[in-house]
Amino acid sequence: MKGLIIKKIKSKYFTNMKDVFFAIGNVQKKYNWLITNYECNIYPSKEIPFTQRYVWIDGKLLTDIVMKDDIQFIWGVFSAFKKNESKNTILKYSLPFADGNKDLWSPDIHIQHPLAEIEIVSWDSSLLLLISRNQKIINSFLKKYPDAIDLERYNSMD
Amino acid sequence: MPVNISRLLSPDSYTGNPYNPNTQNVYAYVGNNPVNYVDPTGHTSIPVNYNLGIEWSTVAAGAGAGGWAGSMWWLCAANGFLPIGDIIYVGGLIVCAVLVADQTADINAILAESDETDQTDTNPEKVNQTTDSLPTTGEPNSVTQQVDENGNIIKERHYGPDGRAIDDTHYTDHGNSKTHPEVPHNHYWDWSDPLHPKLLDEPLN
Repeated sequence: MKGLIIKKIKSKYFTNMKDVFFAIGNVQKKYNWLITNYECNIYPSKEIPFTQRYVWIDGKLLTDIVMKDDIQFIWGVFSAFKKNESKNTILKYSLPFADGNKDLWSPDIHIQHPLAEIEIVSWDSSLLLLISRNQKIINSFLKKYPDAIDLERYNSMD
Repeated sequence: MPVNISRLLSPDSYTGNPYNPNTQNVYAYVGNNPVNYVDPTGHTSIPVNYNLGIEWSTVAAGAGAGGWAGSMWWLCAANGFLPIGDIIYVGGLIVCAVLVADQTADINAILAESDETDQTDTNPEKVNQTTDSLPTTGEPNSVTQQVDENGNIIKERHYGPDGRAIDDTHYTDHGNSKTHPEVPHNHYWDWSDPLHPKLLDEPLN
């Protein structure tokens, strides 16, 4: 499992998910997504309302929503699941979170939800974390953002 | 108001500017800067030089009137064919009286202006609390605080006169002291695109 920390991004604010989906080669459409601990600048879609503990959404619909508007995810944990995983099974586990989660900053890099394939964290409108079981996704991101830092290395530094 | 100890005995009606900690102690006298400011009403500071300048000029004008009346009486005895001495003497008294009235009016104007300020000061920013996320618009000139399950304030958002968020203050490091070594820390709202405001780490220039 590999992780990256990104401190500069094309839109110059964290996080416009258009940038992220473009950088991972639009593979997000293949997954269902659990969005937790989120806060946005605007809430143009009823699928992602102002206050809700989590959003469960198909990758294609999520793509349509973020492509239509300049939504800033000030906070948000995006967990990707294979489409054969049921929502009920996924919700048996604790909801992933970012604000106050010290485990994100441990050298032991891991995805919070045990069934998730990818975890994308928009953190305090300041930076982005990308963790994936699939190295190809990490490599794809690195091609677009060569300045991204290996998260394990970053978390091992004082 | 016990100026000599530079501390108010009762809480000031003005609860302060949230961006200036020196103004937020309701018992502090003139923002703890008594060398440069005075507080004639007990509510609002004004520069000490400005106030003292007017007071001293008033004293001088008053002293001048008294001095004229006491020392120039002999003009009344200096009348010739016309009462020239009387005219000069009375004219001097009138000039001194006008000077005193003018300075008194200046002081009253400052105190009245200070009272007008007090009327806005006694209406401090409204503070709301929520356990939910913070909205990007709110009541004009208000603050919305996000509290945790124990009631601790973890974030607050300040709204301007148009109800738009100005900035956020976060009272935790969000679990990452490396990124946020200083607590609290601020973020700033950019409304250059009014339909899509953005929260930034640094204020826009």
